[in-house]
Amino acid sequence: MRMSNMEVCTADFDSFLYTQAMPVAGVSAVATLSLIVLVMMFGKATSNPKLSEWSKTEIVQLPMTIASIIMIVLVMDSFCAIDFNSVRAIFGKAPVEPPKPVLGFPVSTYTNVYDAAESYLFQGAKFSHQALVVARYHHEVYNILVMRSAYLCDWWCIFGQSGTTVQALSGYSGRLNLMGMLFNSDLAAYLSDLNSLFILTLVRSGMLVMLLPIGIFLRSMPFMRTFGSVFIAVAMSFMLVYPATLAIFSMMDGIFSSPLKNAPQNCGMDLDAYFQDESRIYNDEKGYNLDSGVLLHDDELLRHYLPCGRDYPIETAEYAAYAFIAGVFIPTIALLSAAASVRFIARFYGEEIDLSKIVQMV
Amino acid sequence: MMKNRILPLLMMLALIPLSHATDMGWMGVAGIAVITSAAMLGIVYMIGFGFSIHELTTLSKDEAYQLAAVIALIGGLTLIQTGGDAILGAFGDGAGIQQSAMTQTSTMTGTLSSIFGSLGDIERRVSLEGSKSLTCSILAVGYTISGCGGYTLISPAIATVEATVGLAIAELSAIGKLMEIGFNNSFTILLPIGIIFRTFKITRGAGGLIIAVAIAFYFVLPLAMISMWKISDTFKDPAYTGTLPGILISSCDAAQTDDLSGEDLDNMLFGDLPSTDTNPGKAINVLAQLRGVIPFYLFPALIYGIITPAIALLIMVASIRVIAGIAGADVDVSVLSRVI
Repeated sequence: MRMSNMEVCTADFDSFLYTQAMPVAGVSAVATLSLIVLVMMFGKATSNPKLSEWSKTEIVQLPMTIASIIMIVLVMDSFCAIDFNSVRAIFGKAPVEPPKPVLGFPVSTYTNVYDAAESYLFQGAKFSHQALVVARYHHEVYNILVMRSAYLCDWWCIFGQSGTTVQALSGYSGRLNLMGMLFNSDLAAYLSDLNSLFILTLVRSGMLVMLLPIGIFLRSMPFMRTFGSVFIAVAMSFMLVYPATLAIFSMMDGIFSSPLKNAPQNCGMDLDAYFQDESRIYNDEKGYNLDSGVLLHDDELLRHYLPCGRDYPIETAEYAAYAFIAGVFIPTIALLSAAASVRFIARFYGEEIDLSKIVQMV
Repeated sequence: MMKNRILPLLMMLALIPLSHATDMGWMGVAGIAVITSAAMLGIVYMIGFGFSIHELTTLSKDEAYQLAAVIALIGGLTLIQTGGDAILGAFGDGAGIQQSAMTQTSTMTGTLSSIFGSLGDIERRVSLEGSKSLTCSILAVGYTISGCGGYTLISPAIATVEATVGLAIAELSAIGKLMEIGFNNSFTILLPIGIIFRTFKITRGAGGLIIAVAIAFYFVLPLAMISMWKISDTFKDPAYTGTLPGILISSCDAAQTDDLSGEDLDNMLFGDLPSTDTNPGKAINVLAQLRGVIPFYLFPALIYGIITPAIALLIMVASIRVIAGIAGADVDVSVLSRVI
């Protein structure tokens, strides 16, 4: 079977599912049914109640497997077909704006459940990265302030020298430390969000095409039902529950609100956009007046390096906190909900699976 | 591909008139989910009964019990939505626990922000004095002395306190954001979807967890925050309240290398402070003032900004596990505790 370069909700995937995976599962089901019938006949012929009982048990499991396959395919197709803006409308949320055309080429405005889940994680990654940028910008500015020193001439500086060296702004080291910690927190949030995004990408492109056919095949075969159940439960949870939970979070208000938008004295400028361009720190540094008056007054330096003549440590801390919730806390809940569903679905098939250890690893 | 999508859509259309879902709101959608689930259960029960398959009849009976639990949840939720806020409002000084907790969080963040600013001011002044050094050289021969070394030991401690206060602000902001998310979305998105998810077998675990998260965000977290703050207020040391005191920082003379005088050392033996005639004497005076002042700065940060929110978050996570268990989802939420 060819199982590469396929993503759910595409013609390639549908073609693979209906022309390769389903026929294999069908053949397995027919083979299993034949085996069950043979065993039943043999049991009746030899009056062996154990064989008859076994075949009765198996004949119940077979429709369950077929029903599971039909259900997962139907729900997945529904997930692909649902316009998520309609779902948003049910909960009174405004529709998502369609993306702007890239380089003049029109882009698809089709938004299904998987797209909505992906959009949450994209927004989360963008938000965490912006928090990272703001912390890094402040870190660089504080670093410059802390490292600056001035030599103040006391007397006879022409023939010899006698003066006082002052590192006047080294008191910003506390904020420098804080920015280091916030930077690490933002980085963790960013990586966690990317991790979730890669899990979703795996789910969309690789997980189902691997797990579902194997699960269907194994569950259709006698004595391998337990093993097959695990595959199907994991496939169902991560194909259906994980993206659905993330899509739900994409509808929630107020997760991605920048604290810089409400910062006092933001002089009406877009601070998020300002902090994106870090090159201005170094470009400005080249020709900057290094007289002692500037070196001793942080107001002047802050005005030079930061917008509106002030730094934003409180807002940067708030940014880090919001990024942590958006990038770590909420995706973890989505992962937990998928793990919870694995347990439930496996129980439905009579198995007990605990994915909590795997979740802890994540 | 389109053909494959038509079948599920037709099935869904046959079962539920989703075209009117927008007008019905979440209760309508939840009702449709319950009816759909009941119809499915009926079919399963009939098949089980007709073919004498004991497993299917047992399964449908068990699901009928779960469906009744969902209906009870919807009823309870409606009741809470209409009357719960009024009852719990008493905990939040009449403003509702959510609004009250968010206001208190915002106020405390403001207090910590002003503490952060004051600490930064002190640190800059102390560091300025500590950074001074004198250089004297003639014809490439000379010396550098730093008579302000006493100050350099003080500024790292203040920097640590400042960073701690900054982290407390971040933690409080996170709590505030969680409460805001819960306040804005619990009843409009999380609970309805949780109930709808819980209706169906395969999404029951996720549904139970989402219901638990919604209740924990909306009720438990604000209640825990308010309760913890009330406890902290009750046992607060009155010595650490009131206006934040400032400190007097004498200017250091980098050229002066005099040590403490004998009289100063004698005074210090009896617990008095040395004079500010020498640089070490000035530094010891600053340190003594800081010793008295730092608790004013650290107390709100540690108690109201770090410990209280951490305990409230742990209560919230523990409640998610309990509520999820009641809602039918046995979820190991220890990973969330680790996040905290």
